[in-house]
Amino acid sequence: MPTDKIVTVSDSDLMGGTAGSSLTPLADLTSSAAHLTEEVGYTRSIARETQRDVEQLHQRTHIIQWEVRTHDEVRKAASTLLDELAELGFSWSDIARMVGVSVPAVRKWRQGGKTTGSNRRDLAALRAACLLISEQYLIEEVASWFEVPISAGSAITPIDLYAAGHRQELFDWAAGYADAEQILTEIDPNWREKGRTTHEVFTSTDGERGIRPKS
Amino acid sequence: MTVDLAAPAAAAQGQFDSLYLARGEEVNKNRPVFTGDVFRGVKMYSPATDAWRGRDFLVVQHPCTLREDGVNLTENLLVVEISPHAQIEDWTGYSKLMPLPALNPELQTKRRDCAAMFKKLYIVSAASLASGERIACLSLEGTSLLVQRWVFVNSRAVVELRTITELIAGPWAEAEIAEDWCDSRASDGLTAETSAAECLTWLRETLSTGKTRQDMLDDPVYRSAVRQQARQELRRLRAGSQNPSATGNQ
Repeated sequence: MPTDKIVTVSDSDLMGGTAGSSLTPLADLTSSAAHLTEEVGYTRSIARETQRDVEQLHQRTHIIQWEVRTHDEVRKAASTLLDELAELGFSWSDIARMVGVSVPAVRKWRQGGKTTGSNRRDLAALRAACLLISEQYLIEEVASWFEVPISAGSAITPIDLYAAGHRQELFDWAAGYADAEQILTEIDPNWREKGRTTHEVFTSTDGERGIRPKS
Repeated sequence: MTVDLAAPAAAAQGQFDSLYLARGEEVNKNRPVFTGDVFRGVKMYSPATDAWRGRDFLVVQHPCTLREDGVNLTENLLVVEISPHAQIEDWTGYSKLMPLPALNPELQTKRRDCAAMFKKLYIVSAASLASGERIACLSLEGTSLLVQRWVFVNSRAVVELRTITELIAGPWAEAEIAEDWCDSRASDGLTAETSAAECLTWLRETLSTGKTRQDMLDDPVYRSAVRQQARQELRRLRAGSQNPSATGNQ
């Protein structure tokens, strides 16, 4: 880190000085400006690294918090966890997708069928994620929040993020630490092209919904 | 921008499970018949042989036109015949069929992988369809892929999968709620037909907003709220069934 004293340079100095003031040699001014730029640039690098470190630390603590909540939830029976998720308004097919099993498997669990430890942990993790998102980030209707696309330019929803294993991105989206474009670009740089549509859903004069080309 | 016919999300890895909601014994009899359902052994009369023969069909009729009264299937249903067909690698081609890879995952014969042939169109009565056994239901993704291919073969127009899914997600959510409703009311001794009618009446009630719950299912923002309300209503109905003296409209 540079340790030279910073020389204060006034506007008049930069203009070449005024009558009665002593002139600062141009070489000194150049040297001072270079020192100043170097010092501020260094501070900026430190700030950027600190921000990145804090971001990563925050993400880690968030995952730890999620794991602790999951550990609490995993004590419940699978049927209880399924009931609690359904009470939030999730469909069985969305629950099945997020825990990586088939809908018939979920139906068997609801009817008391046996689950593996891994299945129960996955259900507990989903329930814990919902609790964290609603309690920590004050999202009231959490199932609805999960079901709505994160950007008008893409069909990707928080359900898709969770199902594809993008849990950190999900929490960052819930917390407002990342915007939709940033998240979509991270998971698929071609999301704009893939999400573009030439047709739209509309309500016809007969009251039924249909599809038509975009005008 | 060019748009191609889409493929299942994990087709490149040879994974086709996401096409199906259920296959074989997994199919829930209480699920309302929906676009993309596969029936085996539907009895059809063949004038050429003067005999009845069982055929395998996939329902291609759009979800909104499957029922006239919302509960009972319309008299005539548009279906296409299913035949064994090797798995295809390029889903952007083969537009005259809907691939059904691993339709019969338990088989190791050529009948394991099939396809619905859009050129082999039939109109069957609801009674004929009921003579067969429902052996598969497509998932929302599978149904969207089917509709995309069906629209293309009939119009040569490709509509993005995302837009098709947006259109059918509401009726799809309704079928899920009806299935759940029928499962729940079966334990109260109600038939699937009675339960489906009860569910539809509830979904079609006009709310103070001027909309019905059925309308709300078209919007992803409100779908979860309708599911929550359905569960509450089922609890109320079931409490009434178990204790008739406590029954009352709320």
